[in-house]
Amino acid sequence: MSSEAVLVARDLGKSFASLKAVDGISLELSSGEIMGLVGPNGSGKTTLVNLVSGLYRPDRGEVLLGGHPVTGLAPHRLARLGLNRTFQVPKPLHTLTVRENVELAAFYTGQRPEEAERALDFTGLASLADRPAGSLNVGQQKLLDLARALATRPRILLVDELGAGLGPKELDEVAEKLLLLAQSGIALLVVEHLLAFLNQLTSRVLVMNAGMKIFEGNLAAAAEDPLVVEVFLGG
Amino acid sequence: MPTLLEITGLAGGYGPLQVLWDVALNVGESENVVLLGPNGAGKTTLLKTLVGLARLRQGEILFQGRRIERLRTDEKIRLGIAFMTEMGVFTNLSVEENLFLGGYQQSRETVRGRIDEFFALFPDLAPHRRHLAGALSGGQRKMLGVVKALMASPRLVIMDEPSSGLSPRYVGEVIKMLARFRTQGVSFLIAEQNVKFLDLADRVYVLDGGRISFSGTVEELKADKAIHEAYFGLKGH
Repeated sequence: MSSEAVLVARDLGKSFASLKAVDGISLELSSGEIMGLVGPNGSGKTTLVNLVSGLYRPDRGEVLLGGHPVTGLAPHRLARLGLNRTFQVPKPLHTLTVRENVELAAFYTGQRPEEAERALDFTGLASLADRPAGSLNVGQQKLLDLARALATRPRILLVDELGAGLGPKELDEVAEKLLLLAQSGIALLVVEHLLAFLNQLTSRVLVMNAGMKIFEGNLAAAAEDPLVVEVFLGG
Repeated sequence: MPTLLEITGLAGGYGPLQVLWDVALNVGESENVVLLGPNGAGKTTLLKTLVGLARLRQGEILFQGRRIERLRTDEKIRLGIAFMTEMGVFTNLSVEENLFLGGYQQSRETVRGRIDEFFALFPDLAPHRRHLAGALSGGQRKMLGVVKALMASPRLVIMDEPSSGLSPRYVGEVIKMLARFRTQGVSFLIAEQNVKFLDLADRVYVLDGGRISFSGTVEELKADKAIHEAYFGLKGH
């Protein structure tokens, strides 16, 4: 393990009945680094994110945060330790306003209310802050989910398919935001199907299939890898 | 090409909020029409208004020459219109039960045949046949939603972002599957952000701020520099 890795996962495993959803995945992430996590639908990407973020307890393996074991800690405790995530399908509190949703996250992790305002400004939601969260469209709900996570001031941010459902222009805007976050020192694990989007962010990817790691390394090399082409990209 | 669906002067929205303004759009027999537009443009609202899940304020909708804007949603479905929402499966039913429900007006043999065809096309999903749809990954649910919509042997399939959350390979498979249904005389109206779907399109509409800002062929869309830059950006996703 390199000394500056803020997140280390070792040999993580999780099964649901007979299905090995995640089967021996290890990864390391340093401050300011972006790693892409790709793979076919059902390959275990979201389950891996759920294991690292504490939503599921792994059957085996361990998670280290800044060198300290945090395996099996609940998500709210991990959020206070600086690890947060966004969801594939955001579920904001619909009857609260956009601002209240973000303030709640800041408050819960002991951040000052200014952090909520900063997150709203950063995601471009400030002008919608007084609207009920339920009135936002898909793209805006994704940004709200990002703002909610940012208000907790994470050092590690797991991003689950932020790009899905966004148009080409919106994707460029989101990519710029994620790059700024990495520049500020946050380590990012980005689950994504859209390789052109990922390519704007990073050259480093981990590819999963059937719960296992089938490739780790350069994005361009992954796109040439026969197994990655077969199971993920298609002919 | 005879017209299957014809919309004129459509206005719609939610409560006091008007989202759609004077929308005109038509879909021919065996035609694929793709609806593009940024998030918030009103694509989902337009599709929901068409099938009766959002309130129509004004305008006419003709299906096979017949006025249908006052029909209930289930009556429209019986006429041969299928609708796939962004997350359209029953998570507490099995994969197979979802497919049977999708084809509940069809004969059992027809549905069985379709189901076998589906699992042959997506062998990754075959082991999940009797699993709850809720146990599938987000992308696999999406695939199931697409096929469920096709189970009813509809004349017109309306889909809201079938590709979002799908891996590149699955996007390719969905496009292939839709192309095959089209040769069987099915028409499609698909709201999408993924430009790969343009390969499948006979015509394109762009919805912007609740109004149709462009309608034409894919070639015409690509030739329109202003729209191309405004919508597709410069990085080429």
